[in-house]
Amino acid sequence: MAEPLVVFDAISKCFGKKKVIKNLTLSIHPNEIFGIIGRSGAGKSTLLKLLIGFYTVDSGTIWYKGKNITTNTSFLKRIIGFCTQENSFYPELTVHENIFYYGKLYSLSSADLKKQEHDVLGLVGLSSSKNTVAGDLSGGMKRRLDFAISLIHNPAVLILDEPTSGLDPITEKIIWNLIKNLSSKGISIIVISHMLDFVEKYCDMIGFLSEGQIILNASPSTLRKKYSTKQTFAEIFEHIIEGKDT
Amino acid sequence: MINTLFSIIIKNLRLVFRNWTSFLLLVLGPLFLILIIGFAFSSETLHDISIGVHAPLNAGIQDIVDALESEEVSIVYFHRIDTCIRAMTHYAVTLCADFSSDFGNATGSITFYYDTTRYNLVHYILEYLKDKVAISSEQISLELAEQVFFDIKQFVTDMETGQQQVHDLQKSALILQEDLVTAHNDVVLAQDAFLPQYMKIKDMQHQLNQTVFQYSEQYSKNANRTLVLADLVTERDTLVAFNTSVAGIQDTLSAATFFSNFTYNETLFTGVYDSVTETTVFLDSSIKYLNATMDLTTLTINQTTKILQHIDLIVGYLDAMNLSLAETEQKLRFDIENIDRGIQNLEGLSASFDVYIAKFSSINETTAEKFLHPITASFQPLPSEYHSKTALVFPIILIFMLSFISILLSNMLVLNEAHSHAYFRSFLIPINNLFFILGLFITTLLLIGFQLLVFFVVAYVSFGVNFFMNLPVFLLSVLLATMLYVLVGMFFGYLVKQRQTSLLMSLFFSLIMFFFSDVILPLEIMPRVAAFIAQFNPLVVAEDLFRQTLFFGHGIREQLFGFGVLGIYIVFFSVLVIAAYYWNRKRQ
Repeated sequence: MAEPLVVFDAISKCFGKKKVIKNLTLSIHPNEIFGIIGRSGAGKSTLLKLLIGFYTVDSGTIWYKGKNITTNTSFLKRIIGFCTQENSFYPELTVHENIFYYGKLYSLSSADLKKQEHDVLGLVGLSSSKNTVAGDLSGGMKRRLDFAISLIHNPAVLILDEPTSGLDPITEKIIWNLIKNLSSKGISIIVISHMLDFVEKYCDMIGFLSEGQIILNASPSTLRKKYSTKQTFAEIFEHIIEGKDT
Repeated sequence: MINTLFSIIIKNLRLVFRNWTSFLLLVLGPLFLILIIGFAFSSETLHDISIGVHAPLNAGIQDIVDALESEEVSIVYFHRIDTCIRAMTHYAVTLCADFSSDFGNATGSITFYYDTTRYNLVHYILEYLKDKVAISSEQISLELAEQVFFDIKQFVTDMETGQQQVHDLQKSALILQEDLVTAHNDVVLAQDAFLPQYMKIKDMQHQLNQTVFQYSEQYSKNANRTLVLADLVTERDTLVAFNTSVAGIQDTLSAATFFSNFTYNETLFTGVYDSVTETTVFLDSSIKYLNATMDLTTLTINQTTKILQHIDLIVGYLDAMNLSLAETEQKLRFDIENIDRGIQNLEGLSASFDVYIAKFSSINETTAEKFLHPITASFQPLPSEYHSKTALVFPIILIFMLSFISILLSNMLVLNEAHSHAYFRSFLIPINNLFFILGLFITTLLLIGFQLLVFFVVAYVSFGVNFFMNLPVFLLSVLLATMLYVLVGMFFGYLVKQRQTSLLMSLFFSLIMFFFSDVILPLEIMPRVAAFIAQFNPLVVAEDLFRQTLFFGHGIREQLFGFGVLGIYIVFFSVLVIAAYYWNRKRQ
């Protein structure tokens, strides 16, 4: 297996006296889709905000290609792309305007931005909708635009929070295929989702988050082998999260 | 249906009151506003009015200055009126009073210069001044003055009558004086007439005494009849002459009836006269007898002795009369001297009357106004150039519009941004967050700038507001005020999560600024504490800047206080906005 691209090594985060993330370790490898699943309140949102550099860690280390970037949140933000549950763009602007706005915020030159826009829109399949007002796009296209914006600065890792929330089943599938496609283009992806079937199908590795800790980290095939008695992945999830595994 | 509606209302109220900020704004907010309004508008008395006074040296202005000065109104003296006016345009004094160069003894003219741009203060100031210098009751005062002058005229008439009486008295005294002089002359003449006769009678008395003595000696001896006869003849002649003298004196005395302390005794004189006449007849008979017989008898001696006794009585009486004449003459002389002095005094009094009458005669009804309005007050609004009423209230309109637009627009833009799904992404971008604050700040400024541009064009064309007198300073003051209010709106936008609460808070802030300013009432009417606080109200500060810049052309250096206060507020709210932004970011 290749060297991990990003490693979150024994990181912790407290709010007051409450320790929300406890000595959590997570390794993301190149081209890997890493799925994180857990119950509500398990600490997923806090973990996300730590991963994207919104929060700083209280303890632990963040490594990028073997380099300690724990205190360099600016660098962390440059290598991370993030898609929130809701679409994070301005519906009043066109696709092009949104792309260019965020591209400029990442200090891309106009020439680079033009090329990058062409690439990412091509990647997400929105090239023909470049001049469409974002608010007029369909749900799936909006999601793809959100992906495109998150990729505009060419991040090494793309973090997706519930990427198919609120979408119809067909669009869900399209989006997951897109995620797979992005991974195949060399982007490491972390996905937080409750769509367990898709997680099992599309993720290379799955981490089970409970009470601020990754209690199990394994590939879907390994999990299936280990819990072969379980009919569905939901049963496996329930079994692991509720601690029946121990 | 009513139940459904009732359920919706109950739900809405629950939602409102379950949110503590909404509750505070909806319940405590109005109460706080009422408190602020009540506090700011609880007074109707002017205070902290400062009147700049310029007057010529040694001018008698103390009375009018005392009238103007009070606990609420202070007086500041200036050597030059233009210095005072300049101070007024910088709000160092409220108005200027320029006393005329001929001002003296509280008479003359005063020109009051007031700042007409402070439209809501002007009314109070003019009312105060008119009250103090009694201009408001001009008509009534004029009538009273005419009445006063009518009385004075009557007084002059009375004085003229009095003068006539004095003149009459003077004439009477002169006549009396002449009478006394005449009387005195009469007395002197009487004395002159009396004294020789009197002396002669005295000699006769002496002579008769000797004669009687001689008779008593000669008749006791054998006297020479020839000699006796001669003596008798002499005696008889003497008696005749004496009787003539007595008659003369009697005439004099009977004419001079003005002797106060002397009573003319006619019986006495008649007795003397009759005795002398009888003696003279006897002597004549004795001389005839002696010429015939040459027989001397004692009868003559007896008769002569009897005459002598009468003469003694007359002489005694004449002695008393002589003394009385002397005393009377002396008294008359003294009286004449007194009346001379009295006449001199009367002449002086008459001359004084002439002066007063001349003075009063120059007064007539036309001088009533001057008399009753010894101080002529005129009012000179500044700036002297014509400005329409709309133009004069333009600074108020501008700051009112600018503050509300800036606060609400910036607040809405921040809320739109903060409630946008795209907002969170801005936290993930590796640039300083201040860029987002600054970007939104400048965006708001540009939008408001466009609105103001339209507003200025309308104001220039329709209201006649001249922006070009001091355009750079004016634009700077507008920019600073806009920046401040944009920051205020941004602050509430970042601070309060809920849209409606944030908008309500911004609105409340604007209302507090509005009511706690001099838009409705001038600060000089507010209670002192409220006025002190309100002078730092950014709305008041900015409005003053606009007014001074637009109407008086003041530069930055002359308005350092206003620019400084706005600058401090801008820095303060910038810090607050940044803090609120990070608070908002933390809340995401």
